[in-house]
Amino acid sequence: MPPRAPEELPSEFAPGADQRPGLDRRELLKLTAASAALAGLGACMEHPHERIMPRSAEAPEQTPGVPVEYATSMVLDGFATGHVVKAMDGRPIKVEGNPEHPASLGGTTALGQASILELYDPDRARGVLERGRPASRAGLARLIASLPAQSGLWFLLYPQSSPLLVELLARVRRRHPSAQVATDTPLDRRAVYRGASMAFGRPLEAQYRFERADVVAALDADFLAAMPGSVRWSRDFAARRRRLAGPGGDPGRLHVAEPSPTPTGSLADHRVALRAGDIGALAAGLLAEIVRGGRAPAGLPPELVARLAGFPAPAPAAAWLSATARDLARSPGRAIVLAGDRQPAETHALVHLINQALGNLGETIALTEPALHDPLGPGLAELVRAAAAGEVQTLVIAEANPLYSAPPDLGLERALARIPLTIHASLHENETSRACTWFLPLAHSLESWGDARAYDGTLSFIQPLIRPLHGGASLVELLAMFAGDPDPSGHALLRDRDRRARGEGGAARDVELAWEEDVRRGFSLHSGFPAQPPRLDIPALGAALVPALATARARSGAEEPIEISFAPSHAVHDGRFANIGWLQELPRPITKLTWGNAAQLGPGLAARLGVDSGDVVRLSMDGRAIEAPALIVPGHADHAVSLELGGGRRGGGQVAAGVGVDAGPLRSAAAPGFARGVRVAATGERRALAITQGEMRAHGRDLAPHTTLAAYRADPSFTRALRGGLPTLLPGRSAVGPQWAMTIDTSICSGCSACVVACQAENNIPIVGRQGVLDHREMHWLRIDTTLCGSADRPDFVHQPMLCQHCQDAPCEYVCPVNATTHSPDGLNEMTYNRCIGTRFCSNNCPYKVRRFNWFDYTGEQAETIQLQRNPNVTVRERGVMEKCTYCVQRIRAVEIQSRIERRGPRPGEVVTACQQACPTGAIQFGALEHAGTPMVEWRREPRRYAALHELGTRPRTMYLARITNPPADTADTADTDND
Amino acid sequence: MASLYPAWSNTAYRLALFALGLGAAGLVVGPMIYVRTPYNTAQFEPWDQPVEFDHRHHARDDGIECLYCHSSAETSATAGVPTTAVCMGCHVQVWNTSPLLEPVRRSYFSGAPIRWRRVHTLPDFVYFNHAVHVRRGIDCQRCHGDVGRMARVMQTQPLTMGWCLDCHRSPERAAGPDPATPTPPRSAWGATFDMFTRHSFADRSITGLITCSACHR
Amino acid sequence: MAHPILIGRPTDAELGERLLGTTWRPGGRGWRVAFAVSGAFTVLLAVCVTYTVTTGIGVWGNMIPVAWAFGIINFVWWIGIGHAGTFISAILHLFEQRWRTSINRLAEAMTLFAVIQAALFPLLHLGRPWFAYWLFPYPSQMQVWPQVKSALPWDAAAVTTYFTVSLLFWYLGLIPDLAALRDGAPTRRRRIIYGLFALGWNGRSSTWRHYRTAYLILAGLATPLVVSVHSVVSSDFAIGLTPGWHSTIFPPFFVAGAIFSGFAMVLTLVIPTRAVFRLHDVITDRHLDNCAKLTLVTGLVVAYGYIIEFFIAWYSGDLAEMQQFYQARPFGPGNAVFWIMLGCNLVVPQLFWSRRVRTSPLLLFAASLLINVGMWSERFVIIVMSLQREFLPSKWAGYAPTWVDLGILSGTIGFFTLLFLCFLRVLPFIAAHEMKELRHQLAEEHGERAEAHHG
Repeated sequence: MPPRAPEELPSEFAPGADQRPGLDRRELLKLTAASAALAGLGACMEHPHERIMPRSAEAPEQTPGVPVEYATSMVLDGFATGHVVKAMDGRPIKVEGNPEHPASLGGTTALGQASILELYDPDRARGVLERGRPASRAGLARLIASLPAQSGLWFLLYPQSSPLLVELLARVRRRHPSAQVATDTPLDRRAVYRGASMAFGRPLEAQYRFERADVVAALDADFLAAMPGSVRWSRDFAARRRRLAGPGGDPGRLHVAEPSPTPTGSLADHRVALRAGDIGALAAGLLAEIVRGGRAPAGLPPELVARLAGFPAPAPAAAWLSATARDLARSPGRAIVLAGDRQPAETHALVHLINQALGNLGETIALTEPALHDPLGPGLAELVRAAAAGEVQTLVIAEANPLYSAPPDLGLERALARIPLTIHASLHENETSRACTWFLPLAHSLESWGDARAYDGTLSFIQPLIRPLHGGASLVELLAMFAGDPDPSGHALLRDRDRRARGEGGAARDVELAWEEDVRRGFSLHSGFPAQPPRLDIPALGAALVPALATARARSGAEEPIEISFAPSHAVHDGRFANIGWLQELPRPITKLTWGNAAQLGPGLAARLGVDSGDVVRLSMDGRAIEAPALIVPGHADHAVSLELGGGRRGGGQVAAGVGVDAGPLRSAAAPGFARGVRVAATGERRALAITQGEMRAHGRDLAPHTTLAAYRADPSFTRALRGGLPTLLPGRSAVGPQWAMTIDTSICSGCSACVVACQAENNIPIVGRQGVLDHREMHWLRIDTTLCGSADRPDFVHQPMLCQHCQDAPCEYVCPVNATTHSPDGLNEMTYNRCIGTRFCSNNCPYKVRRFNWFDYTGEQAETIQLQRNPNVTVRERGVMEKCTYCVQRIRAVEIQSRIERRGPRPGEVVTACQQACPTGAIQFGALEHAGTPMVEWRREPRRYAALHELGTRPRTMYLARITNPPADTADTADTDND
Repeated sequence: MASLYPAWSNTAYRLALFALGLGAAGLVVGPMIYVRTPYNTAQFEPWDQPVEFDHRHHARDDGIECLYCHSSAETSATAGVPTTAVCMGCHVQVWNTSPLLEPVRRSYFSGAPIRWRRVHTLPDFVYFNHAVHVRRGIDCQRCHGDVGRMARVMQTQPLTMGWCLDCHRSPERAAGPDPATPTPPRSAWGATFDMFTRHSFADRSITGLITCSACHR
Repeated sequence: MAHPILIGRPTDAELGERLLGTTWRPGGRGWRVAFAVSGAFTVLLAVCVTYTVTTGIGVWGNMIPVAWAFGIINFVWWIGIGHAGTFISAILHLFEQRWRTSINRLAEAMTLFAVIQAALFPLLHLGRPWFAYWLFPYPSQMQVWPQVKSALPWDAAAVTTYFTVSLLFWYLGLIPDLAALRDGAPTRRRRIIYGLFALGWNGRSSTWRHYRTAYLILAGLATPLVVSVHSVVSSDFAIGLTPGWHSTIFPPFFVAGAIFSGFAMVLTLVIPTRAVFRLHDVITDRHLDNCAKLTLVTGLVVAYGYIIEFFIAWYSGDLAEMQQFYQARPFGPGNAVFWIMLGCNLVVPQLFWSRRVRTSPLLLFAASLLINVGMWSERFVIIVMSLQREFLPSKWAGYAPTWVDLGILSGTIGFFTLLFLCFLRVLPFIAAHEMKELRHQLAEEHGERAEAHHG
């Protein structure tokens, strides 16, 4: 079943994929000379001795030139998301969300989209190493087989949810009874489960039903972009907010309190910037207000009530708190309060108590067993302790890279030195590999068999699309080796487990069919965990919370010292994806910063420190210090600095090397998420920040219209100036065939940027590197313009995905001297690369500035493996030509060809663009104007529709829906609609 | 003093000027003519192939359908070249000892592909789709010539953009009138002249097929 | 009474000796130094061009949004400079302005050399210059034609036409002098070479008659070009909707600017030449005076253009336009160039109201240099500064040139100088036969006794 490896691929079937049509510098001069003779033949650069190499025997499921799709899963920190991966002639080329999978519903994250490039990463490890010298896998297998039973065997893994893995661990323990498993990730969720244990007596997982929630209060919780269920939750949340179909509709309300603006915060109706350390107090304050409002949960211990009475709200959030509490109280059973993963257990317990008080548990929040296996089991600390005690003889570190990501004060490095045998298995040789005696290259998840559970417990399967490019074993295969299986096959392991799991009852035939069906689907239907009755031991919980309140009270209010908080990067997560160029060059959702991280701080603090964006500041905390460029972020909490993880990698690839700063030194095992008492001082140096958006203010121009729900109801067609007909001298253009168009709802675009990476993957868009971005030469066809409205300390954000608008009177078309950009009868603004001579007039004349130019030969020098990812249905652009969004014309034409063959028209929803397909919230809708009833058409009937730069008369095919914020009545002033 | 120039120099001078003008004109017209010749379009060149496969024998004498071997032409963008297994399907019985078929047997048993020389090549930025043409009733000979009469396959059509457009502007010439897309015949010049304005794209109902993104994506 | 246009009454022989003689008298040390320097810059130009073509436009400072910068600035600047020549030789000829006689050939040569520099850029700034021929309408087997709604194909046509006509015009004017050199040059080798280009000229009256007709016709042909070429060039911007480009005043504005800078360049070249070759009696203060006056006039038209631009920006009520003119240009990135432009193009020409300035070679020379700088700055302001601040603030960016940009600019100046220096040495840079004719006319008018000068 796994398709053959690429070296066996017939090159002819993948034009442009394994050989680029463009020029390299050597060919260039030759061609310059030849071109005169080639007059008229134009850009035809064919390979004179092209060969056709058909397979010697038919490959199953494959027709040359016809893509095949397989369902699989991507696992991140233990949680699976369903993917459907497209393979072209044996090469996986594109990741999409699995529409049936409950954790995806068709959406993906930027990370999911980029995982395809991780597969082809040229820096991936290629061989087994012993003390840095090449060794054989057989040798490692022998070593493992020869391990004595009482070998003090420890494993260090990311959190795991794979049933197969659990089973294998049991088998390992049969051979090595004392074997231990420690799980660790820089984005540890133990606090969440401890909080749950405090509340419910065991680590239950909260399943949120955002589609049912009228009011959501997110306390330092970026649930739309950075939490395990984000993709699914985005879709649910958007579904609820989309009830704003007309002025009459009710979009619900999102309250957010967070230190630095996140995608979730940028979609808030009512937001306050608050230090992460004050969130606990805020939660307590909320509970206090609710109790005061007469909704005290039964059995709340009196001393807790006493402490809550008159509990001081954190100063900056007083108004926010009362308004939010009132709002929550107004919709009992239809609200959700949630806290972020990095918040301490007590905060989570408080939140559970609040939800209990509001009667949300069982309504908008269901509680299930956690998907993770043993979520509160031993972690790094226990491992280090054991190693220090000399109990660890053999340590197997798989996937994880603790020597980069673990807080330094754990002393992991010293601990490792004391362990006689350390084996590191990973995609890359990285910081940790160097400290280990053995190294084993891991197979990528697109190369291996396996399973894992989604956030809701759904059993999802991992299916390979290609044989391992560089050999290597999968995680389960590695464990099987310890279970005494010298040369295990992941497929067999999974197959056996499945058979045993279904084994009891049912004929072998049915089992076989069921297995086939599940693998095809990518997961087992209805395998999500059932809801557990929410049983809070309120007295005990209350008692446990009393001391927490004391500390919270002590904390809140105290302005100094400055807080530092650490968050996963939306692009490179905790740094494990740092070698993926797409992600490094991905503009971060709010700051638009690429290629590295920065010390983010609010305008207030920056003013007091006298630093500006780009000034390098020194962050020091009890003896440990790092230097990072400052970045002023409007809407950032005062007295706080926040730093994204994942920078400053010291190993693990050319791309990652030296990008950004490592936040590690400032993190401590005690406070990995945030801490007080960081000293910030300007160093006088400057470091240019590669930011893709020049200016976030609208300068009084009506670019991203937004208003409050109240104002919208008062004047539904407040965007009237930005739509409708305009007088024109140009003759009308008669249209033939389906008229393609796009509608984007800025009210549900969180700026998560999955679309940007999806576009890059689909359309062979190169990256240009940090210098390229500094030179304003980034190549993204689709960018997200984020406009700041309101004051700098309480701004509103409007995300506006900005792509080719496909104007019907396109300014770029009439200035192209050679007809390289033309208009198709079905309403597309076409870009014909091979006709382009590169005058760049079209870019000058494009008011949206969505055209991109190949300043250099960006595609020529790409590594062989990277070229394998290319989409053969999209021309790889050569040096000196213009390019831009095509509405994924290759997908349109593919559907058209099929419909022409079947002698019918394209069906509604048959054409899906890459950005639309990836979008977790479904903010981007594409289709034909004829197809009434599709969201794309329905949405553009809404009164809040508008065309970007309408007054220019370009008549764009891309329509936007204005951003409607729904602030609580008494704080409506915070969302003033002034635009500059 | 002696005259600077001999008497004939005026004539020589005039001739030289004339030649100069001629040369200049040739520089412009020459390439235009050249690109339309088979030298440039690589027509009528029978290539040697690793296997001496004779289409006359298979396609004409044995009357084997094109699609029997080039099966993906109906379903895929590319017509595909048959796998060795397809060859062996017959040749395990017939000619199974012929030395001519040695490379085929070698490929079949070793699994190594036969490296055929590509005859019909389009630039990588041209997306031609076999399926839609075949399923819409264009017969293979239309573009590939009468392969059944070729000892070694050669390209008979120029396969230039203009050649594609000629058919796309008046498909009825290629495949007879198509109920789905009826269209009046028009002269190549009339059509090319329309390239001056995008509006006139629309006054032909097959416009979808001559718009740039129909072939360039 | 204005200065005379010819001081004294030299005989034909004297005129011939002095004006044709420049071609066989050896150049001085100064000339050789100048030649070496400009040659060095020409080499720099060659290096930069090769680097650009082999590596990509990325070696320039251009980016999105500023996709046009030095390349197009230099193009417009040079083509503008190229306008004075044809203006002087064609239009002034039709208006029978006799003072043009002693400077027209020099101006025409300047035109040619400037257009050569300009013609470099439409090619060079392309992403794929090797397909530049797609700009011309020819029956391609792709059956695709140029897009005539775009200004660029017309640009290509205009520039090539302009170059061809200027070349013919200049060459036709040269023929009698070439013949004179064929007959008068010292060495046989020189005579043969000049003879080759003299097209067998024999001074018969019929030849002269045909010659005059042809010259008049060409003058008629060249005249509309003076207006059309830069109007076409201006539409490269006027047809765009970028704030700062989208303007109907551009064609007249650009033509005026072109002649403005052209005359400035004529002064820049004539004044030193006159000094070096001691031709104060042939190129008199009258000529400088007239050039200065024309510079002043065209300068005033340019000034009017500026005023209207700013007025319309306000009058349109368009926010983007207003921010472009009232914020970006005076205060935005690169605003220094804007102020230099105003200084050089608005203030400096006003000096020419004073007769003393108009007749003081030094002041004129300095002023002419400043005006050239000012006109380059104007193109920078129009092209770069407009693009820096467009409709979407999210894509605002500041432009900075690279060493290649600077290298190419200075390289073209070097190449231009090189060509001019060669011209001074190998061809009579003042139309000797016309001067003789002029002298005779003057003699008759003033009824002077020409014979007195004989013997």
